[in-house]
Amino acid sequence: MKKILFLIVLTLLGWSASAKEKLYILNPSSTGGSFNAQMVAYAEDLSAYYDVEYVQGKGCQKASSNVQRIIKNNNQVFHIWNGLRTADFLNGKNPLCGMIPTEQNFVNSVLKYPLFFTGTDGIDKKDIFKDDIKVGYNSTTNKEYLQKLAEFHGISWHLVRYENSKGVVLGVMNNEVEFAMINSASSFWKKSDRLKALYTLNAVEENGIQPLRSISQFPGASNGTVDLFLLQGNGDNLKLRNVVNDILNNPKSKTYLWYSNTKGYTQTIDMDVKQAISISRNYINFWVVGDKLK
Amino acid sequence: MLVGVFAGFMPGIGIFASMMLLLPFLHDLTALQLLTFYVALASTTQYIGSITATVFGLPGEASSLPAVREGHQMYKQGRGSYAISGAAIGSFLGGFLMLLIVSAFLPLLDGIYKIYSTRVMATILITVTIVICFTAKKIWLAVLFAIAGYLLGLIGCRYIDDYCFATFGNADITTGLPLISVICAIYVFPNLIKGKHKFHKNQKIEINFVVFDHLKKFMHNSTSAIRGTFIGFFAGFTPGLSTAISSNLAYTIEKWWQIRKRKYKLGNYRCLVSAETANNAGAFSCLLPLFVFGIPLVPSEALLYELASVKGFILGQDFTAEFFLKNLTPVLFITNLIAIFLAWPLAKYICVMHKIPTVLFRSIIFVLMLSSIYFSGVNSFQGGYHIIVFLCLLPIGYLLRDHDTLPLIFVYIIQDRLDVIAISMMDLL
Repeated sequence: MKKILFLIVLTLLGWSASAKEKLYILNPSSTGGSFNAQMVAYAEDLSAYYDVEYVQGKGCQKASSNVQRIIKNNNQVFHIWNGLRTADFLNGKNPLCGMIPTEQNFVNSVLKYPLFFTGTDGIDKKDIFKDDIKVGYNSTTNKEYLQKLAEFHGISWHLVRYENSKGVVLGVMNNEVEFAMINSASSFWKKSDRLKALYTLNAVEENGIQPLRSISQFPGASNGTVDLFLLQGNGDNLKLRNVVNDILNNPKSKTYLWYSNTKGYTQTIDMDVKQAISISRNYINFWVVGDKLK
Repeated sequence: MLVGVFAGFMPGIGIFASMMLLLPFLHDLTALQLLTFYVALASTTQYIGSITATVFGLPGEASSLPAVREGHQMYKQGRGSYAISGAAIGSFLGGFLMLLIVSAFLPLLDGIYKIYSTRVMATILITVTIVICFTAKKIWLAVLFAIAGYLLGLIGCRYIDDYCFATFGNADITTGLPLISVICAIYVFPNLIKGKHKFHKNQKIEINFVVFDHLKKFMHNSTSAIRGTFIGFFAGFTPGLSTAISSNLAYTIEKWWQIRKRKYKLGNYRCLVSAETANNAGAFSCLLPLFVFGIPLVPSEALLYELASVKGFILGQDFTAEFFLKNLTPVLFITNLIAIFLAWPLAKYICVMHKIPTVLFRSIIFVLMLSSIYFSGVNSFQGGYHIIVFLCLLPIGYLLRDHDTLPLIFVYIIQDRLDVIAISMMDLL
């Protein structure tokens, strides 16, 4: 009897030792967007290391509430976060939507550069700074940016809002607007055979696209954006950063394949963690009007 | 196809949730296998979803609302086998006709993006709303319902500009009222309690299952199916709504036509067939923007797009007419053929359900409904919220049990798109 009990205890101990750590993975945005696609790829790859549970956030407020709920239950949650949401929070909008990268929660980040583009037979590069041109956009941050850019050049644009970057691309293709601005160039590259890039907000030429700052002295001419990957709760973010590093350097991983098929993303995973946090904070600060992150 | 059977039978599961459940398996498929899987899944769900709607009165998706209203009524009248066979043959015809037309005109599909101009989308949405309201028996009531539907849809935070309405600082309400809770409380529940389920006692149940009779009945009503095919095909291009708009628009037009001819009575075969044909035609046209141009119209298509691009296959760029004809046309044809042989014979066994006593039958459906509502919210920690919304709306559903609440539900479903289009239109003008 004692032997049997001993064997049972041994088996249970062995099982608990081999049991994986629980990790929630959360998509804070719509199910049809690129955030979900990235988190789905991560969920698949991380399931080799963790006991993964996938959670939908359905917008930043519910996502924040889900994060808090997971933390309260002494669990850990890995999620993506749009740096522009954090900038909005710092600008006094959406009080529940601020997720700030710190040494305690930072895992990785991806730098992206907004893009101005038009249709293949659309407006010429040199003609964009003219009055009453129709310009498409898809976020309040972009609207404010475009208004300031036009004001800087002493002109006014007729701005047209679309639901998302897909809507902006279709608006350009249907000649509803002369050109448009999107935050992530990936939507452009998916339809690059039918579209023409005008300027990138990257400080240097990117994939053959001319930087805006080469023709404009506007202070925000090279404002990049950042997508943050954070771990909240009782987990070890540096351990996860190492795992993510392995995944991003493994040509067979789903996440590696996703990024290798999508242009316009720059990873900070190879940087020193402090430097990566500092750069990510700078990219958030580009869009902050008042007190900036230090 | 097996996954499609599961997704079709389980209300609220849908194509996207099924794909999420099968992600590890999907990652191992090649791009062509992924496309084949998706096409088979999308087609089969349409066929099987109408069986759940007909027998239990539970809509798997918003596109099954006409099947709940007409098909379930036919089932209550003891004509469930005809409802199921009609829906299955209609779905097959819709898919088959579309396959022929699209294969013939494939090179012309290159300009498909022109449909997605803000003006065209605004015209489609406004026209459909007007048709649904102004073909109702009491127009003023339908308009009131439409306004109520709009207000219900407005609750929550709007993604396009972060405008929040009636959220009271509650994170759950910021995501809006859940679709399944609203549909079940205001559309399904009134249908469930309406009328008595007495056919096993005093009504003759048509258990006649001579294939020829079913075909003959369908052929006799084939004009409705053809009308449904064309309405469904064009309406299916609407982003985010697709099959929901296809089946509901075809249903509304057919119902209006039948009322004009003084032939409409609840449990109308023609209305059901038109809606179900439109549903499958819409499911087909919904795929075209994705395949031809790389525009996903619904979340499940967006997921497919990403999964295929991981494999190096970029839909809209690597997709050619030759690829479609050689690889996907046979899959679509065979899938539809298998689906009809899966769905139709089930009609024969449905009659067994009639032996269940009314109270027990309704209780089973209510429990099934509650569990579907709960589980559809579990992956966002909203199971309880889904149930609370359902229970809060239940008294409204009860009060409206003698009215056709389709305008309310329909406008509630499209409210988001109406707002988006209205905002873009105002900027464009």
